[in-house]
Amino acid sequence: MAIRKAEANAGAETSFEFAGLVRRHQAMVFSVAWHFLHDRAAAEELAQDVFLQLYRALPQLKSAEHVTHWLRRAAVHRAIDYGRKRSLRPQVSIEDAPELRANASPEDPLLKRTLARLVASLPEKPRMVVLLRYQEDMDPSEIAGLLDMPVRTVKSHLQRSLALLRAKLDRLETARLEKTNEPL
Amino acid sequence: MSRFDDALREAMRREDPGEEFTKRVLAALPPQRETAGRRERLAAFFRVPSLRLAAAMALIVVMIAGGVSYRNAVERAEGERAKEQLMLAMRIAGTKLHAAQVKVLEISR
Repeated sequence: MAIRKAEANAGAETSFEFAGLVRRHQAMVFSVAWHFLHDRAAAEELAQDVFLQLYRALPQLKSAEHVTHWLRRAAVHRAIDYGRKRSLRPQVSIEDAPELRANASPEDPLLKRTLARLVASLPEKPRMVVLLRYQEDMDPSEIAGLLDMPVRTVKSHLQRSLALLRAKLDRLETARLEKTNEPL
Repeated sequence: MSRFDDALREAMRREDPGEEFTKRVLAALPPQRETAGRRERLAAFFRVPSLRLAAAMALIVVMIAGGVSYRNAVERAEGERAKEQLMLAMRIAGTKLHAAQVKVLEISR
């Protein structure tokens, strides 16, 4: 009886430890899916699947750092696979222009939302590169390792994507100004 | 760092999906983990050298105790057999003695 109770306690302890792992990493996993897919329900479902996969793989993982690296890699590749299956990219239209304020601060929620949608409208690989650079603060060589692509390709994607995002944001701001200045 | 970079970093900031998400993940976990955990803990136990040595010594002690116990049982059985043989011999001797006494009484009449 004492042994069964000890085993049940050990099982509860394992669940408790795994719950701690989920809480520690769920923001990272969810946000990779959310910023890539721009679909909250899909992002939550994907993130949940990644954690279930982690639960099965946990005996093979050697350290906390290994877990983090494993989770990031799983989240990134599953998001890319999911995005390919859906083959949809949200488009950001001129209707978004009225939301932008001139010289909005970086924390401006409307600017944040517009930029997030602009990133989600990028092609698959550049989108993930921008996400890993700005969400995970990874440098190009780390991104290259994670995405299995050459470092110069990562840098090229970054450079082009940032130029594209700036240009789109400028066009949206210009369109907003033109709408504001339209004669009555 | 440019304002645009700051804005992009802010737009890409991690967002926590909340405690409800955590609960959903934990509720979806398969139940077999405890059995695997027991096996793993047992395997981990035997991977520690000092614990392996202690387990081997405990096994030797059990084997010796088992051997001693067996020998005692054999000796006890042999003792029981010897006792039975002695009792039989005494019964036979007693019978013969009784017969001799009866003969002596007949002669003396």
